[in-house]
Amino acid sequence: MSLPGGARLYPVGQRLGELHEDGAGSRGVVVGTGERGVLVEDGDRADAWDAAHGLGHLVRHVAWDRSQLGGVLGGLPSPDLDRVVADLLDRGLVAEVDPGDPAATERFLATHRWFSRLGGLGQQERPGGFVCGIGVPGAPPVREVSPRVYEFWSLAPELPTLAAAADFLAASAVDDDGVEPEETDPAAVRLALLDWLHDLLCVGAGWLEVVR
Amino acid sequence: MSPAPLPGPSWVLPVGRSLGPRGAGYDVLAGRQVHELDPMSWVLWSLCHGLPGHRAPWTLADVELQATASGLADAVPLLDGLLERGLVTLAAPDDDAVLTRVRAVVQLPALGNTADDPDTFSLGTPEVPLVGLDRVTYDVVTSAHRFPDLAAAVASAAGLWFRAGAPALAGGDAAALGARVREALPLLLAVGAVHLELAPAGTPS
Repeated sequence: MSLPGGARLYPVGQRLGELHEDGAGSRGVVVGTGERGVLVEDGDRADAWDAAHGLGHLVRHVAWDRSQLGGVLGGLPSPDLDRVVADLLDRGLVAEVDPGDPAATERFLATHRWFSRLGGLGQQERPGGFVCGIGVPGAPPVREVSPRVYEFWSLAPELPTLAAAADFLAASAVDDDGVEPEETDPAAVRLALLDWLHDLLCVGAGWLEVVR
Repeated sequence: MSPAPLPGPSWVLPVGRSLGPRGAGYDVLAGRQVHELDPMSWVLWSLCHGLPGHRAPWTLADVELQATASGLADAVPLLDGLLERGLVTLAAPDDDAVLTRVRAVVQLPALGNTADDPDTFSLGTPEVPLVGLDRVTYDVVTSAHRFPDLAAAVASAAGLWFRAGAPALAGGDAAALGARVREALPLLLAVGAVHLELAPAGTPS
């Protein structure tokens, strides 16, 4: 079942770190979106792009939408928030997807792909079942996710689009023990994937890119 | 002091990324295939990444030495098994042709530069930069996942900097930049900044 809330906001692009020039302060964060990096200037835009990754303690409970973004940005007035989001949308630095709009969802899944960051730390048994750690080897995990999300995190970089990743996971789940029907249904996996993304984005465990 | 590079394909390059423990073994993902390794094979595969203090190509002799120090008595057959499964590949230490045989995928966060040292671009955790690179090598490493092999990533970055009017940053041409990237690989692998996949040209037949 999809998380409650409005259209999801996803950051697009690979964080390439801060850019300083000539001993001056930071000019902003560089985001790789294709052949060249895009400088997202310090201030509301960089803050909004960062905030679009989500907060770890919230993203499993609510859809990461404009209202969540506004909350993180400390009550930025709605017109200002809309202006900043519109600018990031125009520059291809965020994508906004309403799961209730099948055509828009399919378009997003067919035109974006996933790349993973950080290391896979493997399975741990918890009282509620198995979880999988993601982080830097030798350090505690920065995120524990379900085995299915871990599978997406592992394999999606090898697949050309999010849609292809969802279909691959649905097909490969057929042979798994104790599988639920929605895990083998490509349409259900595509919808679930919309929620998995922020589970990973919130800790920098990967990034989205537009398919070129 | 590191020994002088040996002639021939003695540079050990690990392929794939660890997915950590699962059950009694460990998983390593290479391409779309998950390889289940027994603990000893996984330890040896991990040793094939090198040590952060060792900036030269990590050789078969280095792996065997570390395996012995780790109490792995059967390193040679284990290494043969990793080679057969395509989880390790060998290259000549001073041959840039290796760049056509592997694709690199960045794993550590890219941190950018700092006001104190604007010429050094780092990868690491926000608290601990683990490797510092010049700007163009950083461009190659952070964009290499988009290219079929490292040589293509090098050619693209060199071309971009040439067109931007700063060919000197790339060392003048793709060959010079390729040598810098090759020389950076041992440290990048040792700290887990990147993992390697076999490029189509490097995949065993």
